[in-house]
Amino acid sequence: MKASVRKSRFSSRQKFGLLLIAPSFIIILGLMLYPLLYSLGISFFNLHITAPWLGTTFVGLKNYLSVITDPDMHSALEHTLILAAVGIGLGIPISLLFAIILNRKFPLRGLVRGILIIPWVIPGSVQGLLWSRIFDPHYGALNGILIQWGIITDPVAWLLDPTRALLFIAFASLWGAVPMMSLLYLSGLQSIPEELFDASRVDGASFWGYIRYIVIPLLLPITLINLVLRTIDAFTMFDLVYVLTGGGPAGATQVTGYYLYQAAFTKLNYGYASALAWLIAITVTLLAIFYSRFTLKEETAS
Amino acid sequence: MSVQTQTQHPRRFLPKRIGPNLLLLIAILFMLVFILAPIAWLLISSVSTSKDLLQMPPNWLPWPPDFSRYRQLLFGSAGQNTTLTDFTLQAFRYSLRNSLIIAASVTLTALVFGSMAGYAFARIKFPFGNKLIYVLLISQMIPVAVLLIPLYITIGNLGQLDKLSTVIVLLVSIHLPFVIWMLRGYFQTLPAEMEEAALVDGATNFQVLTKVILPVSLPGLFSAAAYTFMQSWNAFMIPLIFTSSDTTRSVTVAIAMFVGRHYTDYSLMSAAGVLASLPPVLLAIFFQRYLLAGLTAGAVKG
Repeated sequence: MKASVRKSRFSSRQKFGLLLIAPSFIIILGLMLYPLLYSLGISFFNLHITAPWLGTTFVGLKNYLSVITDPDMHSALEHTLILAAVGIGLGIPISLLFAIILNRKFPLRGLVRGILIIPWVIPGSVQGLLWSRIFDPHYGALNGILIQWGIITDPVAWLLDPTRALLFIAFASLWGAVPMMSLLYLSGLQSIPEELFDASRVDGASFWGYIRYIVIPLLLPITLINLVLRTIDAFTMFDLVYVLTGGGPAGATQVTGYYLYQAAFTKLNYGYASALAWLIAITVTLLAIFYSRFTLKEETAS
Repeated sequence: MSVQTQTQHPRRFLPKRIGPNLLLLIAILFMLVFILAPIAWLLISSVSTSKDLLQMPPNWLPWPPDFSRYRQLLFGSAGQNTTLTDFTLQAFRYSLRNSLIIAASVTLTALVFGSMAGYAFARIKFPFGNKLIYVLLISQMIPVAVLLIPLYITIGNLGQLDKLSTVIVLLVSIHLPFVIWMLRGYFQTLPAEMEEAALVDGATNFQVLTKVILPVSLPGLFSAAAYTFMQSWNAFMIPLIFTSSDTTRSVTVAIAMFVGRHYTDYSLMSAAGVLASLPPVLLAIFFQRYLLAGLTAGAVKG
């Protein structure tokens, strides 16, 4: 009796399916969901890693409170938001321009599009090396060009200036993000029917009018996706800061992603770092849900 | 006749056709400079002599290019170089080998498990299938940073720190949800009649997957493979945290160490960076179409 009930619940095809899913779910449960809960647990404790004789003490929401009230965290958050703002403010017009270019027909367009992807695939730490060659305090390319053109006479240590370092990091990060932003815009542009362009021409609209009144409004969902992606990127920014500045000078380029790494693996403050990680994760996940809502709507609409 | 109409309105002809084309040309040039100038400087640095680079302004176009750094990194010894040791060169070669092992293993493993689970999700109906897909989506949204502390503690307790296999397993778990998601989408586009016919002909479930479905899914598998290879070659935070010796380090981490130790041998560092970027950049150039297939879907993963 029992066996027949089972048989009706899972056909041999379903059993085969479960067998296919099993390895992936063991990996995902074991290496993602279990650590996720473990990390939530740690965030309520002080583990005393640097003073193990004290044992572990339950501290409730204290870790979360100290993250929220930490002035270093506030400045890291501020820098993260500046990073996102530069990424959005400069990145959206630049990538929209690149997408409009790639949407026109011209010789070697495929090659140009291939070149555009390159920054996206260069490893983050090599991007760090690349920008360190440009912003080098003595022999960088930026100093070289400015001296060559007579704009400055002595090399400037760009990344050692607290007021400017973050902007240079933001620009470097933007460079790596523009390919993806442009390609997202390009996919949006390609979905705009060409008749709209012809119709706007017939109605006497200029090219700029077409961009202003047809393209930009129709690309609004993509703009929103780019906006959210840049914000998520800013919150998880790590490689470039690690290689270029280490959060310095004097914390001027400290951002949440790098701050989290330091709290966990330099200061070994596991409880605090876990609380911080959860707060970042909640922020990022909310943004991601917001993002996927939009893409799902897009898919169902088309 | 047509010649006549063209010559009749030469002034109108010019701004209408060449004007926009000139604008387009300027825009394309701006785009190429924006993307290529930083890369060009890394390439130039890598084939310069120290004398070319250690002057202000630098020698922008060293001629003939000096490829000795590449030879030294791949095959040579430190020789008279004071800031460099044979040990460092050996460590760099290890790191290249490690990254190759990591990226190839992660890609292969993620593809095997991912195509199994992706097929099951695409074709087999479970009573709780939707909930499992939800788990998949959630695990794809988890920022890796949250998982690092518990994983570090657990892996440390198991005595598995500083091992390539650990890095591979961790990267598989991070990329698997996306690979499943992508392949599920691909399998759904295949006509169901194919496997129904095979099942009627007496093929087993397993044969249907390996002999019918997978052979016609090569483009989808290839996209997933290109994307996973690129992402795991470029991985930085996981190898940084979970490895600590010269024999296990990935090339991305080795590059960060190069910059961090403030070697003044800029051309050697640059050549190392170029070598580290070569595999993903070649993938992007030759398999652009496949790599981009996963772009928008994978965009949300930080």
